[in-house]
Amino acid sequence: MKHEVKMLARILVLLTASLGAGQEALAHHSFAMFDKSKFITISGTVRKIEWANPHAYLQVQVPGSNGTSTLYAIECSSPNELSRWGWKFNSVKVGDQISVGIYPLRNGQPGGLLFSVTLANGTVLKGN
Amino acid sequence: MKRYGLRNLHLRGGIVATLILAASSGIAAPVDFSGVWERYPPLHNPALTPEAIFAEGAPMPGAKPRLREPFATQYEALEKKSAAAEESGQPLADAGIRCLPSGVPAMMTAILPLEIVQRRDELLILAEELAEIRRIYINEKMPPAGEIAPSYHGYSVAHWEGATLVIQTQGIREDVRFLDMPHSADMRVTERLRLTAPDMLEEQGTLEDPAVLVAPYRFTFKYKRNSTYKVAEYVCDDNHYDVNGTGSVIFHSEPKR
Repeated sequence: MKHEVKMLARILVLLTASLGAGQEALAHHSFAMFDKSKFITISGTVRKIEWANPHAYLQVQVPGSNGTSTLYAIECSSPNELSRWGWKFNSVKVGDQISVGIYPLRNGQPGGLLFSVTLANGTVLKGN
Repeated sequence: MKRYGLRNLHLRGGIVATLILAASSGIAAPVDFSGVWERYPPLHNPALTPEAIFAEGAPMPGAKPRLREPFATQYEALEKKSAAAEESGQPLADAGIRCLPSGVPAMMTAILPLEIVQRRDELLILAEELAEIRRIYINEKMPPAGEIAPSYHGYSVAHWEGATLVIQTQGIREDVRFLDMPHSADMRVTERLRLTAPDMLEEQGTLEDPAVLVAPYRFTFKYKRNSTYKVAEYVCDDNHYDVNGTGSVIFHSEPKR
């Protein structure tokens, strides 16, 4: 059942990504530092939430090989827009295990622009 | 008859007095714009393509501006430089990345809602984004240009033409940009604000700046009332961005402070 929920979440994200052509996003600044041609999914532990304007951020510790881990800085939309999409300031908490779909930074640093968050219970929150 | 006549006289006198009072104090505003307003059609759409996610800001509210030289050449050069910077992944910094106010009339783009508070002699426009405030003085005269200190929102006065509030603004700082358009210190902004339905607001804007514009630039914004939304606090404290010496944006994984 949990697996099915995760699959459904992924399908929803893909569907969402394929719809809505012709609409403008509401970025408060350019997102050109992120690579829109790449979409990756990473999983890890939330270390920090910055419910800030113009855009919120998640810091996610992503485990790597040999016991190492990398801290990703993930830019979300504005608190106003996130709220429209069902977020609350405490929807994602420090210590939560989450999976995030991001457009990574073009300069190779660990970070990206959030597309969506999947919480441990399968809830999907749109991030941009 | 006499009694009725007297009462009639009192009634007439009362009405006349009320009308005189209304006219002199301006309380008889033909319409009240007070409320929270969001752009219409809605700018927010939960279903976005990567192209839409990466597109910045709202759609152009008017045609491409027609500028005099050398402004036209400079504007095109800036557009090309900006496009090249976007392509390279190091976008040029704008007012937004520096947390500076949008100013007038860019503030009326209202990517986030506007709250209007209307009083007898003043219209306050409170933007959620950057917590920008416009003060518009109703039935006041525009001060002489030499007495207006340049500012982000300029000095705004307004008068009623029927149910339309005609707002005129001067004294906008030359470095304040709307759609990246340059302008002189003498630019005049006229905004005609009216309800097109009980919960629909329209702004027809005109920029007049003969030194820079070939012809006045016209734009229209439409808004819909949102009676349930409460404007949120907005402090621009996102500290992940910086601007380097060439004016490009730098992303910091760790907040700057």
